[in-house]
Amino acid sequence: MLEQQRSDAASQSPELKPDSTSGPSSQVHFDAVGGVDVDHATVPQSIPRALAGCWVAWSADGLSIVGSGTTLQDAAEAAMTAGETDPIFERAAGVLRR
Amino acid sequence: VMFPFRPCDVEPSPAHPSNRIWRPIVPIRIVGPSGTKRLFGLLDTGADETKLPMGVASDLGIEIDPQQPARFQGLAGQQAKGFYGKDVCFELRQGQKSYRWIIAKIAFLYDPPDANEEEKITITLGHVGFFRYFNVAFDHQRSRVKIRPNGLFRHHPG
Repeated sequence: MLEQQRSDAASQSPELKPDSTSGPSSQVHFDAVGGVDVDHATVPQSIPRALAGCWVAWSADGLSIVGSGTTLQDAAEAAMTAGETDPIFERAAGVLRR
Repeated sequence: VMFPFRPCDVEPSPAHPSNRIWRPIVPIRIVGPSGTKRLFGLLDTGADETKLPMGVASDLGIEIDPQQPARFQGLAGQQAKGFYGKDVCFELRQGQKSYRWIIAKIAFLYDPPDANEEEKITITLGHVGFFRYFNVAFDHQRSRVKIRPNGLFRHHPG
């Protein structure tokens, strides 16, 4: 059952497939130990390369991209159009320093 | 509450030969006199204090005290300057669970000239203002972080 849930989660988006040596996608478990808090953890959507340099609006839980634009205002309007009233904004910078 | 680590693109290194690294970054809400703002917060156990970008103070109408300068120096010697503000409300929310608390004094820092975009938009959650009030378990196996309030946490009704 647990493996089935994991497979379902991974099949929702190609972004969830492992793409690095250390990403969590292949290791994310949706267990139910204690039945508290455990199944809230899902993997945030990856920012597509095409959005490098753009402003990205995330859903309030920080898991899904709900809009983007070349300016913060564009991203805000896209988020509003998508129905997200409480977005989090991020500038997709591409490769970052450590 | 529990949050997944967030993917960040980085330059590969000998120790981490991938171009992606997963960091404990959580969505957090900042509340000021003239509004609220949602930001991503990096759980930084190496940071003594919680810090916010100076722009947040102006966006949310938070008064800063010019008599109380803030100066910080990172492990690599990088410096950041700004001023302290007071009584800033933070909220950590997931679903129906919500934790709100007040940080009596918090540093607002100007962006360093070489800051990248992520640094400009991500706040630092340090010991004063965050880890002091929460027990935090980093789970790298599952790439998630579990946060529970401790006995020092005092819920602010908002």
